[in-house]
Amino acid sequence: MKSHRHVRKELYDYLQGGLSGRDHKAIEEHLAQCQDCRLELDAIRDSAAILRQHARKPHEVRPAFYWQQFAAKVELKIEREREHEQPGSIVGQLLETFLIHRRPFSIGFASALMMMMIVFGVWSVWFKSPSPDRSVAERPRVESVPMESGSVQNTSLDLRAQDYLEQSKVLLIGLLNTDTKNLKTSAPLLLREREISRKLVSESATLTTSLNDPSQRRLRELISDLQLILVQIANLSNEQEVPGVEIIKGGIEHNAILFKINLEQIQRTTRTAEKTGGTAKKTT
Amino acid sequence: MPVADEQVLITNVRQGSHEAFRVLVETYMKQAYDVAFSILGNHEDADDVAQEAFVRVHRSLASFRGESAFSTWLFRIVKNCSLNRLKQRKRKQGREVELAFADHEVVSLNTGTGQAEDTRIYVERALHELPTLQRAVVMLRHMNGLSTKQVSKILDCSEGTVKTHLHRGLKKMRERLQFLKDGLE
Repeated sequence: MKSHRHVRKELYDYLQGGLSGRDHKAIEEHLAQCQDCRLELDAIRDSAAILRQHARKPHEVRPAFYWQQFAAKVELKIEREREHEQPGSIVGQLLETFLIHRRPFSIGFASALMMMMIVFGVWSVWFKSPSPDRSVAERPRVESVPMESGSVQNTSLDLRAQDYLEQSKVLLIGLLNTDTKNLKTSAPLLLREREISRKLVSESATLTTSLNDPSQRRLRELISDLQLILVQIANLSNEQEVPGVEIIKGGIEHNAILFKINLEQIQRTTRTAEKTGGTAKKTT
Repeated sequence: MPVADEQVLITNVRQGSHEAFRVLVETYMKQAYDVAFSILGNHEDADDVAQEAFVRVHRSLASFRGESAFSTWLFRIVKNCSLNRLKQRKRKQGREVELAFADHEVVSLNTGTGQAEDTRIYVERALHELPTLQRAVVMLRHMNGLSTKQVSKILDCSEGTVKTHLHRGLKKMRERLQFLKDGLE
């Protein structure tokens, strides 16, 4: 005779027919004699049916378009991660892999690392007195940088961003005008577009990291949106070109990318006009 | 996907094939999303975490030894990322349920109409209000059809624990949805 607790744990598998013949029979015999467990079985059966009938799987909430772009978003994140990689990051990756997959050893490893850092810290405080000359030499040389360099840098960045937007715009218009019914004639064009996209993707990664000013937030977001589309163009495969191009066209329209580019360019022109006007007033 | 095909894909990804990686992502993205959501109960976080998990997979595929199925390995990474996100979220704000449900409700209200839609909202709300582990087990085992063994491997607990949480979760759902059954009868 099985205990109530044991029987209740097995009720779901019993309902689904997932038990061995012997276990199934044992549960059946228990249920025949136990009303409480029969009530539990009814509760489980009802819930299972209600869930099956009414609840959606979480991914079903997302529209088809979301899933068409998912892989491109992942690729974009990987691309960005590569752009940000620094010389020391290989050690970081090894460490992470080690910490994730060797959890039992990771605590010991972390403790050893901590001990080494403490010993090094104590050593550097007790045995290394800082020389006044060295501390002067190590002082950051920010003061020697002219005050206007920031704005010069911003201007050149802005120009690069505008150039990037213009190139992307031309590329996207070209793609939107591609006739997917006659892709054979458009094939060389698509090849060229993929090449340009690759270049623009790496440019966009640099731009998004450099545009740090809060006033450049919208531009940064636009470049990120564009980057997503460009990655998809760059990764168009020969076998999937027709559906691929259609998906990308949908993405451009869905995100109103061209409208956003135009808006950004108009705003930039207005800003430049205002600045020029302001400078002219000052000089008069 | 047959195991042999999957092995070929994994080998190709290791050799730097973007195409192969894309196929892997597209094969498992929906399930990975469901695993993330079952733990987080929030679509925005599930979106982020599912993507992040694939980035990690790409980074550490070299360390995948094939001792378990690729899907189990991937879902464990999703689970780890989800738990990290939960910790971050709890640190940042103590209003997880309200935020998560708000997100859930907006999505539900935007689709469909009528009584069936109302019922769905009640059912999904009841599911959403289960404790995290019970919700995850009910969703993965019952809604996504993973086996008890798979769920136990993903969630790092015994098969007995999975069965207990499944039973408790379904029973709790029934108590909360009693009025629905009364209304239907």
